[in-house]
Amino acid sequence: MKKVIVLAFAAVAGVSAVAASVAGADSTRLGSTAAPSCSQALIALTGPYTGPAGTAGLDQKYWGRIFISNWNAGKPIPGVPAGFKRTKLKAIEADTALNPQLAATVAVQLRSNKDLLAVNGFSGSQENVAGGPILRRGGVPFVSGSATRASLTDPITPDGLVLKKQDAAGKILAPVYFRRVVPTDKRQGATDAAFVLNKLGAKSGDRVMTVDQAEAYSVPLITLITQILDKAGVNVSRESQPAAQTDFTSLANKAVAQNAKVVVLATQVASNAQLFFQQLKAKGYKGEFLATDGAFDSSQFTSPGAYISSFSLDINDVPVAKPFVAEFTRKYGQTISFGAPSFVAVQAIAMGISTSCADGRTSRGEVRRDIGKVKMKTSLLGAPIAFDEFGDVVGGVGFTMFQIGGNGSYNVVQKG
Amino acid sequence: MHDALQFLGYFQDYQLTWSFLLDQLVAGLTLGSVYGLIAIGYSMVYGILKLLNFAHGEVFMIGSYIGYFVLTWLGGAADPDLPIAIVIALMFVAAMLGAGALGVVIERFAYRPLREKRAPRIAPLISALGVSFCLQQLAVICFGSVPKQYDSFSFDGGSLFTRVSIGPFEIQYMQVFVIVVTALLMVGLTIFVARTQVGRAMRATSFDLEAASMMGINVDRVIVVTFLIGSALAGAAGVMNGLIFQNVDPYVGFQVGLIAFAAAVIGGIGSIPGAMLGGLAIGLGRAFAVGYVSSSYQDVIVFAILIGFLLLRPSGIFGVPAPSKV
Repeated sequence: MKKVIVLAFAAVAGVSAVAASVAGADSTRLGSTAAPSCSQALIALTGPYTGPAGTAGLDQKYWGRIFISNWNAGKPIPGVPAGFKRTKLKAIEADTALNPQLAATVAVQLRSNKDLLAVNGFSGSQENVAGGPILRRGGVPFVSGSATRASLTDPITPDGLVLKKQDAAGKILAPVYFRRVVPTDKRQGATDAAFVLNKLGAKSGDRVMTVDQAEAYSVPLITLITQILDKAGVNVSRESQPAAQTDFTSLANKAVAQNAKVVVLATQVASNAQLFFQQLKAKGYKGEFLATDGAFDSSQFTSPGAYISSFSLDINDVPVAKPFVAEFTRKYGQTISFGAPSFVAVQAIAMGISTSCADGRTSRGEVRRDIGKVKMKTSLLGAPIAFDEFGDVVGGVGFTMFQIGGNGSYNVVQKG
Repeated sequence: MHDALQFLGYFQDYQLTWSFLLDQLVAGLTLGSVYGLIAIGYSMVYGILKLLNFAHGEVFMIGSYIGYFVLTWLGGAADPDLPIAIVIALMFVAAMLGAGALGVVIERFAYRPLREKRAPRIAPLISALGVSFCLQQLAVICFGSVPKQYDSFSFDGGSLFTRVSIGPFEIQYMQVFVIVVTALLMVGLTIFVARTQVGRAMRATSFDLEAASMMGINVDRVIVVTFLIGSALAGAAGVMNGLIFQNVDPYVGFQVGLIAFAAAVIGGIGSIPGAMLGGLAIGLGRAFAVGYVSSSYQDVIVFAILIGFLLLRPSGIFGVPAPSKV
């Protein structure tokens, strides 16, 4: 009997371990040795489907699915010309949990799948830093719907996911594998800093506290915001708190004692923004609070009065998106808008693959090249989309500023 | 003194006020209370079995989830079905019972079989890590990985976080609650260990397990009680963590567990008051590092000091150096 119980316990442990090992890829196989197909091209959707950013990641996944179902069904899609010959898509989905190590593991698996033509992702900047070079070495093009770290497309930085070959004028001579449909943090930093100065009323001599979460996304973004505010003569208190450490009480004490006019938090964990704001209010903080796009999650960050920036519009307000939003709501419930750019990222991949399949054959190299040539006159976001030589979006939307209302709703206060 | 410090040019005016100093003190005590309660579990188990129970952080996590589900079941923080005091009491009772039972189950099925087979000491350590990862992943599967929020700021319109002025500083009711409950649990545990027959058996077993067994003490029972109490305290810490820091997710136990383990070592592993003091030391260290130096270096500062302390006193605050046998 004793042995049976021990064996049962071991079996439960074994099942858990297997569940853990498959958590990185929640659908179909990741590895294959066959060649890419133009009859049904294989792509990967990646995102943080579990972990603290799970809500945002699932939103991205669902928008990716919505695109694929409409694309395969031949339905009209904003930015896809009438008569455009579509190559049907099949997708595998992989969870990266906002974890760079997991993203690197997933990248190795995806790279080894010879069927696979392109990847939607990675979602987080730190995941691109870890997994991007692996995809690049496998020749896999990848398009992100949310990674905003500016250095990802800067060839002269260590993070630059383009090859570092340029001519004397700085023109890129080598292939670009990474592209994104969202603006960079240079734009977000500038937008947020301008919002702090112009709308939230921080003036020269005022105190503003800026807080990062000690990872690849928030540190450069907060550095940029801090630099702009510094130049404007604002007295900036630069702070840092690791994302896994969820006690902001000491920082809240400091913000109140400093009489900070604004607190700016860059985070990818919406519940951290919620907690920090609540702890500030509990300490009697009277100033304003601004969180960056990583905290954009109307189910987790719901504190009335707080501000938040986002690279996505409120997708419910975009006329061309209405039927897609309705379909999303019917299938998955309310969208938080965060994942809408992922629809466009998958669309860029789909159009690139279809163009490369014009002669009935394709390869990762052709897809990479043809994604770069994609030009959408409009898109789900209500704006045109194309890519520059570095992989950054041309057109697209800027950063929109929202304020959280009394019922937790995100209300636009400044359009991007 | 104030002028002298300001003359150094480092500190700013607000940092040299009593109110700021006391605010950071309370923040550190609150955080340290949570660490301390978890550290006690590490210390108790190590004291008796010489086992580093790395699954203890996950017991804390499960306790926090139990508290959350009880709160949700009773209507949630914004609109509870029962008076707040009863809701919170039920959360503590359920979490302590649930976490305590989980600790007993872990001991029974993951550690005792190895002990009975006289496995080398590394085996239960690996078993403990395995249980830790299993519990983490089971929590992901069962509860999802998106953090659950206690939303305790909504209790009675936020009144639990109302500040009370005591002299030059202010403290929130919730902070008072956490510190007082921790103190009561510590006092209760100390009395239990010092005055009861089971407590004496625990001390005897901790001193020499084999000798205690030969003296007629049911060592297995003592070990079960140790796991029960240590895990129940972790469950209480889980509820406190949720009430004051709001969030619980499947990974919350791992880092907090490591810090609590460090606290147990600082306090002198095996010593109950030492574990609590170690927890408070780390909590206070973090709060003062954030307040007076820089949040960017809080862990560097705290752990550099603690490493320095351990170099001077390797057995921790209340630890006894192991006798060297010739």
